[in-house]
Amino acid sequence: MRKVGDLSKLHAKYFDLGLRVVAITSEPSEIIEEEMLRSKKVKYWIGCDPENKTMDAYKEKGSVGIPKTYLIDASGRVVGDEIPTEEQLQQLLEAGFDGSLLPALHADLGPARTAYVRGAFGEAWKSAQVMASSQDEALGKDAAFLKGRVEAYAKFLQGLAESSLQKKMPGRAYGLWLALAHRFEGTEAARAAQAKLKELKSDPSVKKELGAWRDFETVLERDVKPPGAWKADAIRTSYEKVARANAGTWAAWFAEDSAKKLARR
Amino acid sequence: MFTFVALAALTLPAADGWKDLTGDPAPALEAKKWLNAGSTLPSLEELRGNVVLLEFFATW
Repeated sequence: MRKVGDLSKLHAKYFDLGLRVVAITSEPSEIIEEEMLRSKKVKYWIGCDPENKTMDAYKEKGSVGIPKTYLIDASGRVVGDEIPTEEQLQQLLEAGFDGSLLPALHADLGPARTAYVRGAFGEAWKSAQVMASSQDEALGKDAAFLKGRVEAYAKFLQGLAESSLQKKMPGRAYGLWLALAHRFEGTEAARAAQAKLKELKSDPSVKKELGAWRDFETVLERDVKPPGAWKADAIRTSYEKVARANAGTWAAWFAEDSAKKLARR
Repeated sequence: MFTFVALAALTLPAADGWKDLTGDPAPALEAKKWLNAGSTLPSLEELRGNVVLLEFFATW
């Protein structure tokens, strides 16, 4: 059981951001409760599968070497057979927030869902927030799910911004906090991001690129809160222009990234 | 030679007895009893949007 400590650490650090550590064993639940839950204080999910139903689907006939790991991405595909590095894990977790992976939701959440898909997470959160206390149980459950998704994504981006600062990349942190401030408008995360942006404006490397950041922010505002109908192509073209005009800056990197995300939609 | 090796890799099970499922949809997760999962049913359908680190283990 060399991995119990590693798995527990990953579970504790990334559960709120969308990682699920799932361990499967063929041993009876009494043994597992004693060995894992009581003595090792394991908190991740454990499935007791005495008939080897799950294992049979993953192993070839014949002997098996245990432990064995599979890494499954947010779309349900196997992407590896090792514990991922933190960088790999972060990429996989971020992909999980993509609007295309939202499950079917109650019809009343249609506008909230549309807002989420186009990256207006604050708008999605606000409308889900209202419906989360609905008398209609199915609607309430789906609204709470969507609200939770937005909150988890905000938390994920906050973590990335903080670690960017620690790694001496204030430009990257600034772009992430800009995204939080605008895309998550109306949430606690956006308010916190506003304060961070103010602080970071005095950083020399950010200060130098403030013109580029303003260009980017103008498009971002239009992307999140369009004056008329939201048109992916028009917004994408604007992002591309910002990227070209400010080549070599962090603002250009974020503009390019936003354009790419729109192109995929 | 290359073709021969590639074919062999396709027809022989992985040396450790597990399938190489990289790129494939993950097979379903089934268990008689789930521990620590609360009221959540850890089916892959329910877990879409989450990254799953699946570990087969034994305490012995």
